[in-house]
Amino acid sequence: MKNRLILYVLVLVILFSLGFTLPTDMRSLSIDIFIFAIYAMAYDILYGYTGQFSYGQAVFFGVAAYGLLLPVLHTNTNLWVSLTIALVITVVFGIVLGFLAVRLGGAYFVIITIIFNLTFYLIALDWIWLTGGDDGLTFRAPKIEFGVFSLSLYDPVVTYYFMLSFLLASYLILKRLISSPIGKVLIAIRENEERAQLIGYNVFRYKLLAYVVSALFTGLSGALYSLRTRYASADYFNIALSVQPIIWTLVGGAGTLTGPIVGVILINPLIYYIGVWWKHYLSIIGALMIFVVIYSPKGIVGNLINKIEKS
Amino acid sequence: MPIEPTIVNKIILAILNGVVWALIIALVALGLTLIFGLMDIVNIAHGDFYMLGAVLAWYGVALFNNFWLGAVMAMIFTAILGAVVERSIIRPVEGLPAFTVVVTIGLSYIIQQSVLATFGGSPQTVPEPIRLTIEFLGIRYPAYRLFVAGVSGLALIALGVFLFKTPYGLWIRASMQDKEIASAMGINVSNVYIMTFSLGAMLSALGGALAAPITQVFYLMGLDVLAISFIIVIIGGLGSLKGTLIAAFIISLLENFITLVATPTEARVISLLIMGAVLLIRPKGLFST
Amino acid sequence: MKDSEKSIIIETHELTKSFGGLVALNNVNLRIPKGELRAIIGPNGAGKSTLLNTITGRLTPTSGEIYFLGEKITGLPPHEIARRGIALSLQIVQVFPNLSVFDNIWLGVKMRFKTRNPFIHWRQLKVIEEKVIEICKKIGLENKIDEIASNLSHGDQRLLDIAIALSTNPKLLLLDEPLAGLSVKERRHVSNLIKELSQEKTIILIEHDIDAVMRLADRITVLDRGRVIAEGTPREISEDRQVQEVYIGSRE
Ligand SMILES: Nc1ncnc2c1ncn2[C@@H]1O[C@H](COP(=O)(O)OP(=O)(O)O)[C@@H](O)[C@H]1O
Ligand SMILES: [Mg+2]
Repeated sequence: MKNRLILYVLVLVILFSLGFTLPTDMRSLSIDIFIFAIYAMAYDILYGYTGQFSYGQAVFFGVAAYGLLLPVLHTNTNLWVSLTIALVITVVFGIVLGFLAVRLGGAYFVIITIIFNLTFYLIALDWIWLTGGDDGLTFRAPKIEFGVFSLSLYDPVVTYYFMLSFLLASYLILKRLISSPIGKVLIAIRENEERAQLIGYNVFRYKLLAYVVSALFTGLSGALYSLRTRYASADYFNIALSVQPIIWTLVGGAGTLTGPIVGVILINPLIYYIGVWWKHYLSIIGALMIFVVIYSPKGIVGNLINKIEKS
Repeated sequence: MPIEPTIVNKIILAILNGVVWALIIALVALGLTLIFGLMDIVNIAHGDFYMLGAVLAWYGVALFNNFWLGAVMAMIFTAILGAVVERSIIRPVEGLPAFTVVVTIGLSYIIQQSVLATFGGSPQTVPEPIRLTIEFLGIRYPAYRLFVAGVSGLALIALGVFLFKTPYGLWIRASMQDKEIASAMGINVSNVYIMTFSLGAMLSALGGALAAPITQVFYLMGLDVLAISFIIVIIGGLGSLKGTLIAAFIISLLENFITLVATPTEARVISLLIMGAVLLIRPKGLFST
Repeated sequence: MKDSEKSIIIETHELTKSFGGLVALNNVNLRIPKGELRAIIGPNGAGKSTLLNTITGRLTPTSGEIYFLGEKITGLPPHEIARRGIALSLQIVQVFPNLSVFDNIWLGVKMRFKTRNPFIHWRQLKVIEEKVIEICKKIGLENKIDEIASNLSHGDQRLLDIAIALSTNPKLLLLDEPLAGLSVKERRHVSNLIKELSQEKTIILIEHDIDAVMRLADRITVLDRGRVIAEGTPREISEDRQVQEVYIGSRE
């Protein structure tokens, strides 16, 4: 217990001090990692904790990115209002799509999430009047306002702490969720759905809840990402973006909340640097996915930890 | 020069295109449904087998100036690839549905990137190997498309004969029903898996090769086909051969009709809505038992 | 009349379930009073498991009705039926494999409690923890409370399965072949446990071990090919000619 507390404090101190000490490009990479870490945790709630393997989370990433962008662009709403709009829209989409996908489960779930994703991507490419299509839309990031105070997201240090606070808040909320009785039931459903139902749990309701919570935080990640890039395009719906959380989870280990974050920290810089010198880096990702599930299905990190603990 | 087509002309064209496209997509979707029905595998790379078919047909024209050679190459190549893939990377994760999805996503990336590296990233066209147009019912229609319909139709009939009139087909259907009973009957289920996966890949590649002169050849062209095949398979009922075939016709004709008055994307959205409605009313598909 | 109506806990009326052409349950009428231990016996494939599966809502009957405490429960989803107080321990052991014994039972106990704050930390619910430990002791798993379910022996997994069923504090407990696959020692333990439980709960027990059935049951229902062919006290059943025929026929 005490060790853990020390670890938490240490991590916090490091994260806070890095904000003004890191060189620009590493700070920029860290900001990306913070944003995608939220996405990774959101996926873990869905797959790692509830056992629902989605291959279409980019839908919520994209919906929320535009949910934030469009109000700012067209009506100049302030940051908090647009963020709220983005999240509310994402939750509505989450409920509607979840209602169709969650009920059937298994292979149907995978297939339906893929279909949603591919169709939304197609729509985003085609409805240029709304999304800007492949070229996308740019906008001016609104100021961060707290009463009389205001900060500019054009300052990378501000962005660093802004995104970090969202990551920490998301972590605390999701940690709380999985430590609550609800979280226990989600795990039970992952472990044995039939048994959970036989002792009186409405499995559909819990699975839908996990789906919507996951959509919400994926959406938060997407909205923050569009805020950071001050841009969104059809690519924010790209199915490749739905593969990302699967890779993070595979590498970091499912059902641990922090594991997938480790996945982001390991994979994103890797993709970034490999991508610079080899444009076909996706084939490495593909090979990595095959390799991991065949040889190290508990996640590379999870397996390493197991080995260290055993030795 | 061409006169303004009347509404009747347009409707006839939509029907013809719908049927041609339905037959092509049925080849792809039936492969998908066979593989799923037998092995419980959601094969994400299925669209990429289709893409490979189209790309190899393109190479047939580019290298040997022979489309037919390309199409045959495509079928042989994907049949072998399918068998290798099944043995090497599907087998180890058999029975773990989420992992088979991951493995086939990985495979899909590898195929796409290999094609991108060799074939390139810009869309290419394949000239129609039969350059004849036929005039009837007041319209002009490319003979090649009718030929495609014929070949696809024959392939579907051949598939039907294979599945329902040969011992191999019996093995596949028996294993789809119940693996344990099948292996108790002395069927080598492991060989049936390889055969089915290979067959499914080949059907998809045949669809891709036939479609190459009609559409554009592009390394990501498999995604759209994957989407429509999945919609069809869900509407028809996962694992149901008859359902898949009928749903392929319904959706293809429908999308072609809708594109008379709307964009292809809007047509796709309507297909999606239909799928949603089917899921609400008959969750396991229109033709599930 | 009225009093006897009231004390019936579960009743099926012309219950029929067919799978395609196969009729697994054929117009089954059951009336089981509160507090009874009713054994259901019959050869393999007689429809015993199907009966429990229809009662718990895992299968929807083709026709007929099921009443629990006088209320119709036909067609309700399984979790609703469980919440009304019917618990099932399936023929094939069903536990939460990667969770501890404690967590397995905790989940069942939690179902009974409504927490005011749904986001409370699960370890703060002390009432539930006490109950879990109580059930563990009763079942005889108190020494294995922190073990992971999948590491338990088959016998202990069966105990855990029964413990999960009990943890929901059901009014009616359904046990599908709880003794199958157990060692002699484990059999004795489980059948004593069933005896003990029958003091406070209504139980429907499916079991092939005729000696155990004779010892435990208040009454026995015999199913064959989906039909009830006899019903009575253990003594009546053991003397029933038709039952003997079915049993001798199926044992060969
Ligand atoms: N889900 C099912 N689908 C088809 N047939 C089934 C199913 N469940 C049970 N059956 C059939 O119903 C009959 C009764 O099965 P069951 O209730 O398991 O028998 P018992 O438990 O008495 O051995 C058997 O012939 C069995 O094959
Ligand atoms: Mg049984």
